[in-house]
Amino acid sequence: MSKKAKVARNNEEKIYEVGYHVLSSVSEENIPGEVEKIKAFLTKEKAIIISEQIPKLRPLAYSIKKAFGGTYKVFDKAYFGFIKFELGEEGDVRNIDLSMKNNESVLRYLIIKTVRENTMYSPKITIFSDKDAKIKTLKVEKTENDVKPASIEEIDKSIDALVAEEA
Amino acid sequence: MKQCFFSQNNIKYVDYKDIELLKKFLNPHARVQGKKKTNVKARSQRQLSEAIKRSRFMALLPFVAR
Repeated sequence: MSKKAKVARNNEEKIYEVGYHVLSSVSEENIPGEVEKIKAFLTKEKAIIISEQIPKLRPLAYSIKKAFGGTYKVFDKAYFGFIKFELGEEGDVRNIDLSMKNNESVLRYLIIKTVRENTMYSPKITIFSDKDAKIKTLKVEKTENDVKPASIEEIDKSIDALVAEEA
Repeated sequence: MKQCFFSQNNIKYVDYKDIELLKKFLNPHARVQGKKKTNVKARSQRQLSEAIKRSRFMALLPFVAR
């Protein structure tokens, strides 16, 4: 990579997203506590939270083993949630990575570099912490829908969604 | 001539959490479809395969099916 490109990279915003599975052995009412734990690590690195999804119990596509002091426990379900955040100059993702690794109640996690905008195409799943942000993104989606011509696939999809809601 | 799904829908970043979208580009064995089959532009195809691989790691999509 040339020097110029490197400089441009340094000026970029540092926006990351951490997706995680909380163990299904954690009870439903303790989930907000687990989220707070993760958020505490983030605020330690002076991260600004952009959006998040509250962990929801969902079946895993394959079973995952986790070692608990010499014995393996197999999980078929987990609470999946994510937090999108921005790091300042002094923040370091490696520390966040370490803290997630050492978090006993996290089954699996993934930290990726992403963009500030909402990247989800099907908007059902995202839940925003910031109420204003929710309104903003919804407005944008609406205008986009008006502009683009609806294909047959899309019409079918929306009809299916309506039917599913009624049933 | 079929056009790129991502260009048509103005999708610039493929998200690994968007399982319903990613599933469209998997065959019944849960393998990634080739670019000849998906008719997706090269950039989107790269993003797509990356997203599917991330999704597999997070157990949102299977590595193998059937």
